[in-house]
Formats: sequence, structure tokens, C-alpha cells
Amino acid sequence: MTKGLHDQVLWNDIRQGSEQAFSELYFRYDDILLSYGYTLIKDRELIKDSIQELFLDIWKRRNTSLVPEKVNRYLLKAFRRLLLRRINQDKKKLKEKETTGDITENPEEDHLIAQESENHQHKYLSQMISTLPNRQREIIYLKYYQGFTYEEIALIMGIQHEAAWNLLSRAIGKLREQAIDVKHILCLFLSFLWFFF
Amino acid sequence: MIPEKYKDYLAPDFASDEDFIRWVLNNQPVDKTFWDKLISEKPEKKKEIDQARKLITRSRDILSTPQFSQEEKEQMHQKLADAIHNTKSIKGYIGRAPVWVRWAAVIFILAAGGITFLFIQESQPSFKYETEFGQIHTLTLPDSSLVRLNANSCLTIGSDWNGQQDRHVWLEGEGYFEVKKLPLTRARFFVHTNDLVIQVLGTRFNVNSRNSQTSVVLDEGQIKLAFKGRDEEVIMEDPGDKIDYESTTHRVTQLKVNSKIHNSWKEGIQLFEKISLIKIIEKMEEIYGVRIQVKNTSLLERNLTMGIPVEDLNIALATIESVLGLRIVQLNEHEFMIE
Repeated sequence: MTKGLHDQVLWNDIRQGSEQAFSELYFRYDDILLSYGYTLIKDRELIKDSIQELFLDIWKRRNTSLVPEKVNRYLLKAFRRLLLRRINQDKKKLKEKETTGDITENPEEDHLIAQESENHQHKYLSQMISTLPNRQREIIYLKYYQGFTYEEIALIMGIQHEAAWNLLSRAIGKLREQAIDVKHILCLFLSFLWFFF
Repeated sequence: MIPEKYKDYLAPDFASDEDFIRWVLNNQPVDKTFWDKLISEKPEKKKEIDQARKLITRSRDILSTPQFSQEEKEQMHQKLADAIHNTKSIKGYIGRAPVWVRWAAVIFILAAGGITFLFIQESQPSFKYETEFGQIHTLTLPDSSLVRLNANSCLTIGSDWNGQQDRHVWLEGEGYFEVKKLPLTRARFFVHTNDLVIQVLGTRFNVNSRNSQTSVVLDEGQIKLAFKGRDEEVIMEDPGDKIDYESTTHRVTQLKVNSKIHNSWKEGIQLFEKISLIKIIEKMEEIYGVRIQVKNTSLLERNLTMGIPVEDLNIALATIESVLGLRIVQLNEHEFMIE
């Protein structure tokens, strides 16, 4: 399908009760929200539930809501707030049960990402990105995949404009730093082999 | 953007520069001109720029991989629709069917899936190009045929372009084709839309396929149309022949138009000659992705002669204002009202 009407026009139709517009908006954003959710937590079910809650909420409040200035920015921001709240709730529950361990890990997904990547470098970068702190991974996503400006990112993440720039610089620095580390280890390993033969 | 600013930039600086990232992600003509020039003037920066580019595009690809399967998509959408209507899901009905019915259903689905799979395998598209609202783009295909793609359109290109086999492209939206003849192999050229297939030997023509309608206007040469859902084929051979096909009703309409005016969008200006306001508004909604309302509905049938620039909505609106002698008010960013 070619692109239909602008998001804001859809939103306006939703306000007037159009279920068709609602479905169209949903299908336009479900994959985006999934990939965004993954930068924050690797828990597919939790992300799916949060997407449902977000859209249900939009539908329930359709009569009273205003048309957002930028629909994509609004959706990502609202989704982020909702997902982070749920992650915190889950963490509390886990604490009550006195369980330990990293709840954000899902080895199956790591395997999947590794499998899908075609070449070595790609695989390698994807591993490095997955080891970044959440917020750094998130800003790489918002900047390199969604193409938001620093100003928009600041609004979505609720931080200052300069902080957004700093955060991205740190993330880039980390990706390069780790790349150099691995090269270093590889060199050591090779010289080690050299020693034996 | 000032070239001097980038004098001391290294890869990480480029990778966090707003203008640089925008160029890598969108490759808009303005940015492209700037960065191409910068690279040619400062060739020593090329390595750093390439590194930063790779980092950005690879990260983008990696972070975009989590996606819903078609099945998951439908399931979630159904769940949402159910929640809205507060009804129970259809699962209950399947549960009640007798065992043999369930097995029959499974076998049927597997068989249907297999057949669909074979069809998809037969001619798999390999490259896709999309234009934004208010943007025209020219593509050169591997056989050096040219396609000018109008705003809000998408062209997918098949994988076999060695000159021996037939060439296939899939179009959604509007495109103007200048197909290169391959006299040695006589490899045919096919344009697929949702509603029909156009077979070409070497010629110029315009295709516009939106919603359930496809219109084809011939400029030069000869083409053959096969409609989905109809057995007959139609050959178009006179310049200015226009065929509209409505796939929901299977209706074929033949018309004569001035192909120069009809296909004028490819030079950047869409001309209209005695076209009703409602048709013009439909076209504008296609091109710019906006909604235009008319207060006085009796105007809708009025025929107008005018031209609008495909890549500039503001001038298009101003033109309509002056042709009608009416004011256009902006309701919000993407909705307008002709008073």
C-alpha cells in the first residue's frame, strides 16, 4: 500500500469515532513500538501488553484528546512512560518474591538477533549495541532509526537538549572503545599463536 | 550548514552531527549536494565519513529487526478490536468444531500456504523504492529503462535483470515509464499493479494505481493490458489512449486524453485542463497527503484549467486561491478549507 493520509488526519478521524482510522494507525506503529520497546527491555510479552494498553487508552480517550503536534513523537513518549512504569512494577514484584537475577535477559532473542545478521561485523556491532546501557541503546534507536532531532529526543526522554547530545556521544564512544578492545585481544591472540609455530 | 565547521571532525563527531545523520538517513537532494561537495573538496575526510555512515546505517538495521510476524500482528489487532467491542474472541467457535473438521482445516491451511509459497517463489521482488509526499524521483533500472516516480508512490523491482529473462516491476501509486527495448533477446517488460498487468515491448506510458483503481495513459509505442478478475486483454497503441480499470466492479473505461497534459507531473508541474475541482482535490490529496475541504460544495463540479507544482504545496494552494478567487484557511497542519 502507498502511504495514506497524514497521522494527524487519522487522529482526527479517530476522535470522531472511526475504527478504520484507528486500525490504520495501529498497523502503522505496532512494529515501531516493538523495536522501540526492545531497546528498553527484552520481554516481548510485556511489550505486547503495553502496546495494547496504549492503544486501548487512545481509543477510550478519543472524545477528549487533542490532536498531537507530532503523532509519532507523542506515541513513543506515551509508550515509553507506560512501559517503564510496568518494568518498575515487575521489578517490585520480583523483589517481594526475593528472587534475584537479571530479568531483562532473554537468551532466545539474543540468539535470534545473532542469527539474522549477515556478516561478521554486523553480528559484532549488534552484540555491542545489546551490551550498551538501556538509555544509550535507546538514543541510538531514536536518532539512527527514527531520525528524531535532539530537541525531539529531549522531549521524548524527558531530558535536556545538551544531555541528549552527550548521551549519544557517549554511546558512540563506547561502541568504538569496545571495538578497539576486541581488536587488541585479537592481536594478542595472534601473537600468542605466532609464538608457538 | 557551513563546510568550515567540519574541518576537524572525526568519525564520532560526524556520527553525532544532526545534519550529517539526516543526510545518511534521508538522502534529501539539498543534503546530498552539500555532502558530495564536501567530500570532493576534502577527500581526506572520506574515511571518517564512511566510518560514521556505516555506524549509523548498521545500527539502524540492527535496531529495526524486532518485528511482528503477520500472524502476531493479526492476533494483537483482533485482541484490541475485541477489547474495544467488549466481545469474546472467536476462539470459542473453533474449539467446538468436531475433530475431523479441525484436521480438515489444518490440512487446508497447509495446502493453501504451500501454494501461496510457490507463487511467491516464482517471481520474488528484490528492491523497493518509495517517494515521500510532495517528492518526485527518477529511477534508472538495471536495463537502463527510466521510471519517474510521482509523490507518495512505491516501485518494487524484480530480481532477474540479466537481459535474457522478462523484466518485472510492481507499482503502487503513480509512475511514468520509458522502457528500453531489448531487440536481441526480446525480453519483455511487465508492470504489475494491484489490479492489472501491463506487458511492454519498448515504449513510454503513465500508470497510476491507487486504492482499487488503475489508470494507464499511453504516450508512445504499444502495450498490452491484462486485468485481474477479467479474462480479456486490451492492446493500447495510439498516443493519448487512456484506460481506467476499477477492480471492485471489474469495469474497464476507455478514454482519449491529451497525454502531454495528463503526464505533465513528470516535469514537476501537474497540469489540469478543464478538470473538475473535486478531481483536482483528489489528486492533491494523493500527492501531498493533506485533506482539503470545500465550504461551498457547488464548487466541486466546476471545471478548472491550471497547474500545480508537485513539490510545493504552498504554491499549489495559492494557485487555487487565485483561480477560484477564494481564500483557503489552514485548519491544522494537514487540513485545509476552501472558504
